[in-house]
Amino acid sequence: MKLKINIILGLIKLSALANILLVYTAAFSQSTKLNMQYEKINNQQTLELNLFTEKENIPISDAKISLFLKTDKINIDLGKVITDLEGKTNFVLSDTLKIPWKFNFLAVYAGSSQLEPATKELSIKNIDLDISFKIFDDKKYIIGKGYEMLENGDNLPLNGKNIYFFSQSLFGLLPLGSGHLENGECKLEFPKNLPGDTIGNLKIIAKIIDDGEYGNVSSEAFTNWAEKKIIPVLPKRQLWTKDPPLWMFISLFILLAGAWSHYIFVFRKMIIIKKLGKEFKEE
Amino acid sequence: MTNKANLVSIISFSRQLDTRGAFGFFWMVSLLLVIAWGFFALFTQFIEGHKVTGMRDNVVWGMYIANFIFFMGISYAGAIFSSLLVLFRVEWSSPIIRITQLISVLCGLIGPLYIFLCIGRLDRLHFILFYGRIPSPIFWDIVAIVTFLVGNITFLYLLLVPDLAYLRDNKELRLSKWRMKIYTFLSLNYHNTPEQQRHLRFAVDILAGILIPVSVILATILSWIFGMTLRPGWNSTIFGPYFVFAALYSGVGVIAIMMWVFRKRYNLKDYLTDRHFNYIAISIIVLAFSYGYFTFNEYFTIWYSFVEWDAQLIKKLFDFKQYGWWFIFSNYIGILVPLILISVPKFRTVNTIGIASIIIVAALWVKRYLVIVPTLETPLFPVQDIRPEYVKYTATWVEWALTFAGVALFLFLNTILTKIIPIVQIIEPISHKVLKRKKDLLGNVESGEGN
Repeated sequence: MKLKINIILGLIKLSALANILLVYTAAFSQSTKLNMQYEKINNQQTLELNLFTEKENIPISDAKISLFLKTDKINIDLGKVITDLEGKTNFVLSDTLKIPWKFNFLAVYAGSSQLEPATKELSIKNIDLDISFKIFDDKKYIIGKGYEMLENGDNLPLNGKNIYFFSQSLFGLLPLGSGHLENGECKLEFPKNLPGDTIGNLKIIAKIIDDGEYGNVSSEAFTNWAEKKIIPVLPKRQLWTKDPPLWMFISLFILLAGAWSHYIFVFRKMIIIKKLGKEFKEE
Repeated sequence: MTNKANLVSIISFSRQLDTRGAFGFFWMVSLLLVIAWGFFALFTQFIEGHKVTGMRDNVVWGMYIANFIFFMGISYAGAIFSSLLVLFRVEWSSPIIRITQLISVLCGLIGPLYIFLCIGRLDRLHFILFYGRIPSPIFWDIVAIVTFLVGNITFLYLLLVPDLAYLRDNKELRLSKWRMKIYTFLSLNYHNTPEQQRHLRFAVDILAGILIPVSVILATILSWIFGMTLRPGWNSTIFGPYFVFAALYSGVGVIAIMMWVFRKRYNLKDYLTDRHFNYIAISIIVLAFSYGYFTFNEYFTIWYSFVEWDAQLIKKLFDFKQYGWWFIFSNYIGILVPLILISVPKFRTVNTIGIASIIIVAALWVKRYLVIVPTLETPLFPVQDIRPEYVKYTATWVEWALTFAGVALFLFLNTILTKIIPIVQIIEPISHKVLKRKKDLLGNVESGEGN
């Protein structure tokens, strides 16, 4: 009897301990959040992932995230990535990967003893942007075209989306303006006095930014409509150049020539004195 | 060529040419010991490198450059004074021209030695010839010093020629053979003919005329090494004339000291008279005022404008824990004490002029030190992660040894040369007072009395 009571008491203690442990673990395991963004620059497609704690937004570093491409039948394993110190990571989609016109990505974070698992799904339609340059009524325009790349290979013009145009400058992108896509096309007047390189070349970038359906898509093209950069010809003879200023050289020469010509005259006089002394001796 | 008047002069100077004795012996031995100590320091520096000096990454110039400016300033001043005295045929100047010119040449030879001591890689010295940059003030200084030395040495030599010729031809003094050889070699076959006199006078006048602007330009170029550098206390528009007047002030001090010493040592009162010392005293007064004016200008404008980096330098110079006492000595005592001693007729004697000159020379050396070191200790950007001993400059025994060795070398060469050449000109016209003395002595010589 006593033994039975002891066993029951032991079990109660164990379960209590287990409950305490569970409560303890539950109290200290944090919920996490996983963000995923799609970016297409020219033809390179990238997934940008960001993992952080939900409450305090603390980035989670060194976390392994698995990526899948969801199809109707199976989930294609794309690979695994590890977050950096800022909780971020990128995954570049392979060019050889056959992706349908609408694709669903799945990112899974398995969690840890103190962090809860997290998942993120992203549904993206594959689109493309084209940039061209045309002149209408003596005015220069940037023409932006956007279209969805359908499964059957056709292109469906985009509508109702904004394309933002930029030019590449030394330290970043210079916004030029935006155009609204109608029947897959929009145009923006090319700004005047836009500086380019020495022959007027300039890179123009068209972007769709943070769209729910298409993600971030950008495309680039070059034009020679920009203002030609004039590199000033530096004068050759300066204080800091290898060849000194001419006036300095001439001044130094005159000063030295002046002093040394006097010395040469004096040395000549000394020779004459010596000769005269020799003649006096001979006399 | 011997005539009785010049004979009297020679007899007067024979003591200077031939003086020997215990004092002279110990004097020379002491100087040689100091020079030997300097050689040992030089050897140490050569073997171990510049780490044996106080110069480091921040304070890259120290006592060597201060000594260089000090000696070159005296040299330029000596050349200017002797050239002016010769060119304007100043009647009372004959006795002091040789002293002045000798000081100028010797200081001009010793000064550049300190540059060699300051250069870390002497094996690259020839680079200045092949790769010298014309826009560099250092390049100008090197070219200018070479030009100056050639002219200066030639000027001294030409002034010596008549006396060397006279000593060559003189039999009464019974000079040693080696001296006679030297005099014969150096006298340029000079026999004091009217034709030779004319050519010699012309050559001397030409050199005197060119040496004045050359010396002024050189002193200015020396100042531009600092004036054209963007450091607090250096980048000043008045550094050119400031250095010229500082050079003249220190030069006249050294000339007065030398005159004082020679007058006492060789009993040359009849040649280096009170009148000469009075004229030197007037020069000191004028130069003290001029130098004081420039000094006041320099520091007052810096202090008043209180630009940040200059203000740091001023604080350092006025702080008695750093350079405050040195500043007081060089800029107050060095100017005011000589002025008081010399301006007040009651105090103005040959001895006080000599003492005032010593104060001037010491103060001007300190001044050169204050121009260089405090500025280099005041960086343009805050110094971080560097040892304190690298920021603050302290001269080591090597630098002190070489400084004293330079002074000893100057005195040694001076002593040696004054054993070979008369310190006062013989053949040129001499002062009226001496003429009277000569007449007295002539009588003694003819009757066989006196020496």
